[in-house]
Amino acid sequence: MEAADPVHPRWADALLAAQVLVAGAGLIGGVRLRAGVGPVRDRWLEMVSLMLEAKSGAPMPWIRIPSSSATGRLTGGIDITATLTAGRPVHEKGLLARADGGFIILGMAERLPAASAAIIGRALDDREVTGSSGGRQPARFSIVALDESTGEDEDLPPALAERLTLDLRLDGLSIHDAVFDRDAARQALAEVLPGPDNAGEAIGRVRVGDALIEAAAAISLALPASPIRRALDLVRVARILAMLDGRDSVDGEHLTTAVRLCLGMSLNAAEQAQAEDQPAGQDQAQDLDDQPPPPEQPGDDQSQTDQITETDLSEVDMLVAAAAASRAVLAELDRPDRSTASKMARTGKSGGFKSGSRRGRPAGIVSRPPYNEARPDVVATLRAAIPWQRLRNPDFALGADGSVPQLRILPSDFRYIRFRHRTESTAIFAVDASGSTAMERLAEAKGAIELLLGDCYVRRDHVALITFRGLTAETLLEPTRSLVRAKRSLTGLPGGGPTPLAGAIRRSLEIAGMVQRRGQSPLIVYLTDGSGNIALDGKPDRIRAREDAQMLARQGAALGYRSILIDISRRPRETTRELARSMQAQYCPLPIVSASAVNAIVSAELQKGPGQGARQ
Amino acid sequence: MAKPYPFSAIVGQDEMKEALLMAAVEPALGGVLVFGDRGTGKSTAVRALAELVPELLGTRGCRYNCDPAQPAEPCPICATAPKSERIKRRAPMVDLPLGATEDRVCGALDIEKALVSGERAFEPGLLAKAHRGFLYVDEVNLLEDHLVDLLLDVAASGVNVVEREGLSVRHPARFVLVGSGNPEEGELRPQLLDRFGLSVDVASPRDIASRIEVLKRRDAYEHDPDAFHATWAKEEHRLAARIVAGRKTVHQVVLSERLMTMMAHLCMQLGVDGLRGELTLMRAARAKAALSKRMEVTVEDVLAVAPMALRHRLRRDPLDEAGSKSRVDRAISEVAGHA
Repeated sequence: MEAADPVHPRWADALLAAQVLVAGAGLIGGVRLRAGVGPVRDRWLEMVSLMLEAKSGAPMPWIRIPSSSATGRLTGGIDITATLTAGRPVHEKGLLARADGGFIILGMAERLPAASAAIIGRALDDREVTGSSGGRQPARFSIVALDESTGEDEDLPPALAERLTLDLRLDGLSIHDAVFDRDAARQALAEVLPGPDNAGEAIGRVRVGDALIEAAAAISLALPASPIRRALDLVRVARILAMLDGRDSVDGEHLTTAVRLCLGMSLNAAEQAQAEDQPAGQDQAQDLDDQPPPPEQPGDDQSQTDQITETDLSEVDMLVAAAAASRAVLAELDRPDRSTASKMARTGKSGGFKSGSRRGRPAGIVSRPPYNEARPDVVATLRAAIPWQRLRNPDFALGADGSVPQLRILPSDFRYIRFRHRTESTAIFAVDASGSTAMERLAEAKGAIELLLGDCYVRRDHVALITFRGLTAETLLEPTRSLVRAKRSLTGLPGGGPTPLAGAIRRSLEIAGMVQRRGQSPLIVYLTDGSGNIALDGKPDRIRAREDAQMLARQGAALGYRSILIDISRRPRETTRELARSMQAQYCPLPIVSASAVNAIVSAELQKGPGQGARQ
Repeated sequence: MAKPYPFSAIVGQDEMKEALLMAAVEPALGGVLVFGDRGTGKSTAVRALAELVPELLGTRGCRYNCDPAQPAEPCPICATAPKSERIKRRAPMVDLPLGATEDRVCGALDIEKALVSGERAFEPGLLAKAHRGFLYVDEVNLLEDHLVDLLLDVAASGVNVVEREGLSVRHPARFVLVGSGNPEEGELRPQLLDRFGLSVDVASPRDIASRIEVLKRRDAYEHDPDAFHATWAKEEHRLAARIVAGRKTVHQVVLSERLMTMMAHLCMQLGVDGLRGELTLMRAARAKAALSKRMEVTVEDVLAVAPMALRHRLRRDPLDEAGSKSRVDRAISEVAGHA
């Protein structure tokens, strides 16, 4: 492949990842494919499916699962048509069991609900799936998770992300880079693979020296949350790479490649770090763990399994050093994870209920359709109908000839599953810290917010905090549930300066939009005296400032965000009330700010739930 | 499924292992809640535990896991034909999947029987299946609240009562509830937290030596599970024997008046509501002593189990930055100083 035309290094990695994935199908968790929709991604997928076919010699399951699939479909359930024809419950295989031996393509994996991710993760661990009827079915599959997330506010559910072995980024590759020769790829794979059944055995035969295991452990420890699964993944992928190379033991090169494929670490960054400040990297590695893999310890006193040469050892060493040195890269990797801590809690305990939801978790059975076009649940309907069969049809019984009994089901028997879906609330506080809000009032406002934060915590709400003073509004706190962070950012809140109210409104609307895209319901709480004097462009112009604020307020109202404007000036003014009216906010003049009063206002609004706020 | 990874081969995580063993010795403890990072061997430990528990005597064809001495009333086999064939079976380890419906958990009308013979029969659910064994809920913090309520109710009373679709059934369902989860993805309501007997926090090992050990053992297990099990068989037998011995003696373990006073002091110091804290502390200390083959609870036993029995019962001040563990530790050192 590397012969004539120089292949783009990242595409070369993509090819390698495809080979590893296919060779380890059913043995490794799968790949996180970070790429937008496009021909490059399609080509890569096509390549994987071709390789899979070449490996097993027959078409293998290739099942696409949309992220919105009901959990029941994943594990399997009653087959409606077959049940009605047969007159007895017929179970059908779930999607996961049907993918046994092949791949699951998870579309828009970043939108996968946590419950589905947990079920898929469980199936990956057990290599089998327990259906809703309790039967166990084998499910040895690997996953290709199509991750189309763009910003920091989107990420794969952790239960899934941590089980995906490979991390592949195709963004930025052009279709011209994505060259591959179908026949060559097929052949290459067919040559090295030992056949579909004993791939596991062949991989298991590949030996891994102790020094490399130590290196893998050290690298995983250097990673942000130090996940031990990553170390296992590294060893496993290094083995597969060695097998693909036709070798019977893993060397440092394999592990280096495994780090690249599994951690999604950009090769260049790691190499640069290695080249530029290797001594520094060494030091960091020393700092990192008290006992870095001893480089001098020769492998040959262990046993014959250690066939690591000198060069290998130094490679391993460099690898660990590089991993430690490129902690900036690692920190980058960590960021989405950390933001998920607050974000993934999609199933919080409070927030607006969406009844009549089409998704969410089953929350009971009702006799009236919970939403239009709801389909009756067969099992529940049968359960409701069966006690009446003798009454409705005196001949109801299995004939001696084994004929199927005629069920009589009336519309009154229809039962539906009611789904319940909770949306969480996020309270966005925009706090005026300008000079016009006198200092002592700011302190009161802080007290009020702290109280609210405590309350939000109990109700499992998220909190975001924006302050505005001087020329700009600043996001002190992205939506989070971490009270400690919220508290800390409040304590350090300075006051004084002019009032960029318009900027604050704009920033609040941005955050509200982000919150809504996550499926949560935002509530914006402005704590201000309403006398903005900085326009959107940062110029001190009282009239323009007011116009800008009015314009943005109307925009917020048009978007339908619920908001509350708490007027904390000593003497409430008509202009502030006007502003509240424009944003269709609840207006609460609070000349004496008391923490409990603010708390009561916001709590009442939060408990009202979405859809009853601003629009009315 | 292949044989699970052996319990004794789990590296580190001593607190979690100890808590699970205690729950296996004393089912009345009220289960274990394991909270912590992903990939720390929570599920592995729970599954491995079932292999250590002694086999149960049951009846062939019984779907309620009845104890032959106390057959469940609705069980068609044990209740009507008490002289059926006895068999030995593994203690059940039932997984409660996240997507499970209430029907599936409690049991419901048996459609097949109803259709074929017009008989109104009850089809037992997961709770019946877990009787005399373990019920494991992974990601318990993501489970629908109404299901969690139901589970904890049954776990506390030991009886599952089903009143639906014209069925009125009650059958025993005594099991050890084991929940696990990652607190970053959502927390449990305090009321639910309180229902769990013990709570342990786990984290991935931070030292490189134990990480290497994890890697090596896991690798050996995946390469050749049978050989791996053979290596660990002796250790596993030893643990299993400890559990059997512990179960026999746990109710005879003596707890002195002085230690009871100390427990009460500890709970008061920490401001634990209700008496569940003291009760759990008492049972846990006994289980701990029984596991160590002692017939009397010592101060060390109490101090060792106090963190896991109490740390989830503290009234939490959301703005208090100090963890609950340090508060328990502080109270322990104060009370221990007096005792």
